[in-house]
Amino acid sequence: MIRLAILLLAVAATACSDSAPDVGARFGNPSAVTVFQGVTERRPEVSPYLAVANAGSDQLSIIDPRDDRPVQSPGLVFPLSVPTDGNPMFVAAASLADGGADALVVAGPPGVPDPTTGAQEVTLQLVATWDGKLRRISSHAVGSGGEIILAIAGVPVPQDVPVEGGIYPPVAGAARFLVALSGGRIAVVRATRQPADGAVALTNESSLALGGASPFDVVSLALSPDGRHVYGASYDIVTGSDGVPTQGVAEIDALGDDPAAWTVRGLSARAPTYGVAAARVIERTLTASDDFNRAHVESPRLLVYALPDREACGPTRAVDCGVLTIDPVTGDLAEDPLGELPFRAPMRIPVLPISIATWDRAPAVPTDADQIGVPADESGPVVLVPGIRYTPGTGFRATSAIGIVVGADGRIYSLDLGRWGPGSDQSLLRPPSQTRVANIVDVTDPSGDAQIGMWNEADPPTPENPEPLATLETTPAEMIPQMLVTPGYTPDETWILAWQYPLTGLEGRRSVLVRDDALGLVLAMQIPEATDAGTVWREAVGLYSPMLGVHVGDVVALELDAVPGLPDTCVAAGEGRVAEILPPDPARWPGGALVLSPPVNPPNVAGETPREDVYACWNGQLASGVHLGTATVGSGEWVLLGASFGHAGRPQPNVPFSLDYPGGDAEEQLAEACAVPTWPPPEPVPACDATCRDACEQLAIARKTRRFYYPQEDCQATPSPNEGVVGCAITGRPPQFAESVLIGPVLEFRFGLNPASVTAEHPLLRTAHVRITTASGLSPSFRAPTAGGQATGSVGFDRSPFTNAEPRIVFYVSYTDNALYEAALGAFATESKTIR
Amino acid sequence: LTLRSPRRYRSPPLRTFAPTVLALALLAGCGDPVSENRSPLDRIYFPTGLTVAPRPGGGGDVLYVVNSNFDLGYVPEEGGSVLVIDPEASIEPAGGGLAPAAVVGGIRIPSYGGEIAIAHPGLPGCEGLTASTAIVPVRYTNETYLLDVEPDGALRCNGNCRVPAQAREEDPFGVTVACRTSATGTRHSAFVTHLKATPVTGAPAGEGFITEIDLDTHRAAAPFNLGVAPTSQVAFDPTRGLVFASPATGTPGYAPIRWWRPAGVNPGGVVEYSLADVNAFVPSSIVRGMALSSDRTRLYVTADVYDAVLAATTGSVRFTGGVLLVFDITVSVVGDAALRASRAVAIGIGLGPIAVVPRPGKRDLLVFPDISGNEVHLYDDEAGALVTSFGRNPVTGRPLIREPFALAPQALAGGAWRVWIASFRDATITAIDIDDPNVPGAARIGKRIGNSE
Repeated sequence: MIRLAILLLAVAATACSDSAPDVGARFGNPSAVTVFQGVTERRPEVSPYLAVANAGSDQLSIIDPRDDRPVQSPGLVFPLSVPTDGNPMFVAAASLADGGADALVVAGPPGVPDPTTGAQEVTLQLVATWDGKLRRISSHAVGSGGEIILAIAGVPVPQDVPVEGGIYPPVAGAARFLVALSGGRIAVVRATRQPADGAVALTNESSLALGGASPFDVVSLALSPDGRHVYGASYDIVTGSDGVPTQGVAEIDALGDDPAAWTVRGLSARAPTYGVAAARVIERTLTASDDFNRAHVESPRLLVYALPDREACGPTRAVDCGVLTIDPVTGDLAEDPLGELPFRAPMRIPVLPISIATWDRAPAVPTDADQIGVPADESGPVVLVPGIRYTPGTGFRATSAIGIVVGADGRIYSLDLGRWGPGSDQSLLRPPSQTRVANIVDVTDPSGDAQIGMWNEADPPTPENPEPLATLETTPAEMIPQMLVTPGYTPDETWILAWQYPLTGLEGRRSVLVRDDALGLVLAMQIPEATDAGTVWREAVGLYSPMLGVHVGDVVALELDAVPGLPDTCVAAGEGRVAEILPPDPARWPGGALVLSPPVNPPNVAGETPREDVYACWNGQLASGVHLGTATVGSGEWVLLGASFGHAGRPQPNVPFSLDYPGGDAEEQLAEACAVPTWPPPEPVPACDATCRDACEQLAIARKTRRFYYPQEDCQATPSPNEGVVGCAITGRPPQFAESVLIGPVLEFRFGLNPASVTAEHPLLRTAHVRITTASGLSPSFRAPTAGGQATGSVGFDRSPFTNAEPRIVFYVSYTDNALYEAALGAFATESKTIR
Repeated sequence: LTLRSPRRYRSPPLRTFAPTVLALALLAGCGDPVSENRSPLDRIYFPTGLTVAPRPGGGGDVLYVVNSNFDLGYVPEEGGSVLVIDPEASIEPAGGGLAPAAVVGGIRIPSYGGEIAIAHPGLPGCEGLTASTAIVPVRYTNETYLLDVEPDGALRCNGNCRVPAQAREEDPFGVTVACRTSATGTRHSAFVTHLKATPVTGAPAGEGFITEIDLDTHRAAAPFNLGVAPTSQVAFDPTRGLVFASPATGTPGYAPIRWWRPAGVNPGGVVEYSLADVNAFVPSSIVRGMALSSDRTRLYVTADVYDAVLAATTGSVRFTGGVLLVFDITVSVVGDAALRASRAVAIGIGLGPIAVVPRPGKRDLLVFPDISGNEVHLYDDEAGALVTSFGRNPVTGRPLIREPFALAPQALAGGAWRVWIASFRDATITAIDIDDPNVPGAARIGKRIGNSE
């Protein structure tokens, strides 16, 4: 009774109010979301709504984006629910371009067979959007039970002739749904307006077979802004209509009435892909007059964005991981705007990306504050046109296109597509977060006077002073400014600059020392394991791989296991030098091996020398065969190592050293010259001589020195928030340098030794080093709901017709946490909100 | 699943089954109070373990079902059981319905049994085994049962079948067979996980232990310590000689998958292991299931995601989503195995263990339960997409498999596969028939086996 009274009071209160009560959305594990135009009892006119598929409760929820409230059911105290077949996983809408309601479909897995007929069809469920009574009205078969729906896209039917800008206007009264099915087929369903009652009817058109004799699946679909093309991401080799195989994205030309005759072209991403989006982008330029906010003066261009398969990207591959940019004009990765890399640097996302979405249209009701500059013609003055507001933590700006990447961590990483990457929530250019050498710790010789220092270069030579003197700085505060870093290249990393230091991954590994009658002493880092098929070598280190940076002359420290009969001298800690690097031999050393020669170290500053008697024992008293032990391979000279980077090169005292991307086509040339660019190598292992090994090592380093970010800020003498600091303050750069995006080294320095008596003949203690910490300054901007959960679907929406304030352009992202998150990239993170 | 129950002697779900328990208690009062209240050997009762293995004497496969006595409806010491069921002889009645379980045999064990594995000569590396052995960890008595498998598939304790815990490891649960050849000869082993460890002063809370049991001698080696986070499931990769262990659910904020080479374990029990924290890929996640792909190039992990903010502010863990994670097992240039996240698929809440169905030339099909959603999902790793979900009766809307948990794949003739799924709540075992693994969308609910009345 009390409950009834409360209910009546609530209903009565509703009747007295102008606004509808918030009844809660009551999602049930949302799996997808889309925007559609339709009619509900809430609004008699055609209006935009969000349709959220709920896999857990087998229904669609309808949200009104004007106020982010659920559309109510006739029962008032419940949100409207559109029941569907079990586990709806996809929802898609398509505009019929006639001002009427959109076609809206929902689909799920095939489900259990019909109990009477045994039939099991893949269907689209059509939802009535035109008569104010949202409901599922029919199921439309598009595939058999043996097929799986991989993606659905609602697309317009393009007219045959484009208008200005290469845009193909849609045919009024019709639309299509493209349903990507497993087995390399795209089912095409046409939606047409029924003149009698404004309803939508679905009919099957012919199917598009992808790849012909070499079928491939597409797992994500995206409509091109030109209204004609559709892009499909694929894990498979994309075979175009011309028979050319490509790794990347399929471009489907959807012009023509017979989908079976549509042509497909492969766009190269140099890696398989699993997510795709497209946008028409006006990109910034890099000029001296580059305006931080209105720097977009390139002509608009269509670009495709793809997520590469993680198996095929990374620092040992042709492309880094991140969001790849593809130019459909060239059919290849888009060019690097600075002309340095063979293609544009992928937009790096710190976690596993799940999906991508873009938005490239200025708000329908724009604001003057969000204008961007574009040329009136090719040589004419810049004029201002509406743009999209984009607000990372470093401040708002305007741009032509934005995007989001939903990460496996549930965060929504934002992209400024007009500036080639994610915004950063902290500055890469200004203190205190700028790209910099953050710290140097000198552990050269704690008990002595020997030091590693950085040369403070003198003034440039002049006729009056042709050989100016430089100064060796030896305190951390003085050493740091002598090093050079570059925003967008220098990572968050800890570096070791050391004398005879263990190479990355090669310290204290179980190994075998082979006494070979022909080769002498051979060391392989591997573990024997007896099997029925004989000895199997486990955990074989790829010593042959140039990626590890092992050089002839490097130090091998080894301690053999004590076994009966082995002289004591042989089981002491000893060492040898690398005399030769042997290629893999599957039976003996599957990762390659090192032929050892006697140690040659001179006494160090402490007067210590290695024990030559141990090596002599190995060489003279070991029996032929395999002997177990633990080994470390260290550099025989100076070396630079990064904790994540690995081997970074062999700097020499007093000689300028630059860890720098080679630029031009050098990376491709190195790749051609390197026979073993990846590990494990192909079978049989290609021969790789010293020249080849050098190319491989350079290639491995070059791939890790690629640019990973294009800074989006300005350095033109803008006062820093930090008192007393003006402009930018990048380590090693002059203050207030003008170029916000520049090409430069990851790390550059010239080190020296103090006292000068420390020489190759009288070296430092082994492993003497300085530890250098660099900070990238990059903190990719993201939005995230306060609760956890996994993001499932996303869609962009323009709220500007309904509001005068930000956020205007938003992305709605559905979460399994029974929530819909409104990510506003134009407002600060706190202004995004969660709908439940 | 039984983690949700309080330890021993007290069980909230008892109220749900109060009438049954009451009736049993009344029946028990009519006879021997102990023997009459032992677990029956013809009934499925809160199953937690399930596997399929061939009869040693030939004649097809049999199902092994571990009944947990989750509600302690029977005396704890003899309340659990392992039933051996002939699935082919379990005939559905005319007109359909539940097929009464054709029980080949059964053996009582203490309550809270865990997973089950059968070591038999058909497994890789186990060719030298002269007999088949069923390995069943039992949490109630902190021991692992090694039961001889008779030619007809029935189980027998030969008097040396109970392997107690060695030290501080508690609550044995997961198990895998790991037959291999090492420098000291062929080893027929099983690895057993432990959901708990006895806390001691000076040691970190929530340590993870693994026990290796020699199947020839029925002796356990000293358990080795895998650091913080107890262990839940375990899998063996005979190709690389690696063992993988998943973390148990009791370590919010830290969910390390750990792997090691058993050949590298020294006699002192110290093992050099590698780990990958699933929280680094999907924050605020708790691992529920883990399985190796059939080609051992991938590791599949199911995890539930919880509200980290709520957990941090109130201490309560509320699950907000579930995810299937696909890791590539890569080998670095220095020879180390590493996990690299390849895909993350958001699927429901309350996910559980994973059954792998291999397909020649293609990546696997995965079957895994959504325990709280009363659904079973079928995922195609080749397509990278969810194929279908088996949840409710399309006509009545009633859940088909309430609280699905334990799974067991079975290879059939002609390349077909069947995945058996035990319903924890309904005490039934349901088959999902995949006639052609290359047409996963045609998979369907098949035979359902339950208790005979």
